[in-house]
Amino acid sequence: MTLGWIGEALASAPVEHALIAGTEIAFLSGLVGAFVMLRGQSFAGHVLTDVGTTGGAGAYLVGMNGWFGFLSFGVLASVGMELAGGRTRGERDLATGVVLSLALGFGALFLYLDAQLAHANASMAVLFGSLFTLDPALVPWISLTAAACVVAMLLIWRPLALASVNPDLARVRGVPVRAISIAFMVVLAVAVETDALVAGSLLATALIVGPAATAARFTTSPLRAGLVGGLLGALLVAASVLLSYDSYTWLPQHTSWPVSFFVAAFTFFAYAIAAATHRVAFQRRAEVELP
Amino acid sequence: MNPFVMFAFPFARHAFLAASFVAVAAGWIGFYVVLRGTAFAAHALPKIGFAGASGALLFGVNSLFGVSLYSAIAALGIGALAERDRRDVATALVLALGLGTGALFLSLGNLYAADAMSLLFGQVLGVSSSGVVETACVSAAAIALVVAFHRVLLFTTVAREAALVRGASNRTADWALLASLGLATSAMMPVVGALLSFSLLVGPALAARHLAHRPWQAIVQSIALSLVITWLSLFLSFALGWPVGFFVACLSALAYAAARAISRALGRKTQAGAA
Repeated sequence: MTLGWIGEALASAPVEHALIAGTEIAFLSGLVGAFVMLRGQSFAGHVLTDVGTTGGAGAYLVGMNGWFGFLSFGVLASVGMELAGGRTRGERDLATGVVLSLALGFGALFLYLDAQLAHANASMAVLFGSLFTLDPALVPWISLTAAACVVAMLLIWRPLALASVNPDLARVRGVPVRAISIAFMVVLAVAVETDALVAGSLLATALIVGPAATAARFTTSPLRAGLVGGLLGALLVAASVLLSYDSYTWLPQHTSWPVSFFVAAFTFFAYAIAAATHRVAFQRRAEVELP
Repeated sequence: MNPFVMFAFPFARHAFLAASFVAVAAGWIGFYVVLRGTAFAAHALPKIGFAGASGALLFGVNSLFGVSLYSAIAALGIGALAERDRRDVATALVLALGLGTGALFLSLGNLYAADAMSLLFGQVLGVSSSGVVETACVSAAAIALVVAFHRVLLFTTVAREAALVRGASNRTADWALLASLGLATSAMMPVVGALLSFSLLVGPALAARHLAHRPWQAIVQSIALSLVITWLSLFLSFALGWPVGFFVACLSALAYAAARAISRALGRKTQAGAA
C-alpha cells in the first residue's frame, strides 16, 4: 500500500484547516477532560453539548452567529448546573437531567421552527457538523479561544486540583471552592461548545471523556493525565481526519465516512483496551485489601 | 379548537393508544431510574436507539428490530465496561460510539434530514395499527422485567451493605434496569422520539418522589403524571402543530417544579406542627 495519499491530503486547504482546528480543540478537551474525570462530571460534559445544540438552533432561528448561540446557552447551563448541584452524584445527575430535558424540548421546537423557515440543512449542521466544512475565517478565532482556555486552566490548576480532590481541605487552606468550581464549569462549557460547533456535538462527548479517561487509567496525577489525554486526543483526531479524507474511495458509492465516526471508534477502543489491562491490576490489589 | 376532534382520525387514535402504553412504561421504569440515579443511562440508551434506527433505515430492516438490537448491545456494553461506581465514563463512551456509527449510517445512506428529525423528535402521528400492538408488547415486556426485579432493585439501593450480605447482587439489579431501559427505548422511539423519551422517563418520576412516601405510591403517582403529561402534550401538539417532545419536556419540568414547591410547603407545615 502506498502512502502517497497522505501528502495529497495535506495539500488540500479544507484538510489543513480541519487538522489545525481539530488537533487544537482535541488538546484542550483532553486537558479539561482530566478534571471532568476527577470530578465525575461526564454527564454534565455531555449535557453541555445538547444544550449548545439548542442554543445553536435558536441562534439560526433569529439569524445570529451560531457560535454565539452555542456559547451563551452552554455557559448559562454550566453555571446553572453548578449552582443547582446536589449532595451525591446520583442527585446531581437528576438535577442536571431536568436542565437537559428542558433544553432538549426547546431544541426540538427551535429545530422544528428552523425547518419551517426552510433552514432544513441548518439543523443537520448543528447536530452533526463537519470539520471539513469549517469556515476558514473561524480558524484563527478557534486557535485564540483554545489558547485562552489552556491559559485559564493553567492559572486555576492547583486550587482546582485541591478543590476537586478534597473540598473541605481546600476550604481550610483558603481556596474559594465555589468560585473555582464555577470558573472550571465556564472553561468546560467554552471547550465543549467550541468542539460542538467545529465538529458536531457528538465529537465533543468523545473528545472530552475518551482520551482523559484512557490517560487516567495509567496515572494518578491530573497534570500528567491532562497532558497525555490532550496529546492522545490530538493524535486520534489527526488520524481520523486523514482516514475520513481517504475513505471517499473505500466504497463504490463514493461517500466519505464522517470524521466523528472515526474519533468515536478510536476513543472507545483506546479506553476499552486501557480498561481491560487496568482491571486486572485493580482486582489483584482488591483481593489483598478485602477480608 | 376542540381537541377531541382528533379522535375522528384513525391515525390519531393509534397515536393516542401507543402513547398511553409508552407513558405507563416510562412512568413505571422512571421510578427505578430516579431511585438509582441512573439519569445518564436513561438519556444515552434512547440516543443510541436512534443510531440503531438509522442503521435499520440503511439496511432496509424493521426499525424496531434495529433499535432493540442496538440498545441491547449498548446496555450490555455499559454494564460490562462500568466499574464499581463509575458508570458515567462507560456510558459516555458507549454513547459516543453508538452515535458515531449512527452518523456513519446516515451519511452512507444519504438519508434526508426529515428522516433523522422524525427519529430524533418523534412522529406520534405516524403510528400504524400494527405499530400499536408492537408498542404494547414491548412496553409490557419492559415493565415485566422491572417488576420481576422489584425487590432486588429496591434492596440494593436502599440498604446496599445489607443486600450484599443477604446475597442480592447490585450488578444483577444494574443489568435488569439497563435491559428494561433498552426495551422501553425501543417502544418509545417511534412515538416520542429519541431525545424526549428521556423527559418522560425522568420528569414524572422525579415529581412523584417529592410527593410520595412509599415505593408503590410513588410508582402509581409517576404513572398517573406521565399519562396526564402525554395526553396533554398530544392534544397541544395536535392543536398547534409543534413537536410533541417540546410539550412533553415543558410539562415534565413544570410537574417537577410544582411537586418540589408542594413538598416544600407541606414540609414546612409539618415542621411547624411538630414544633
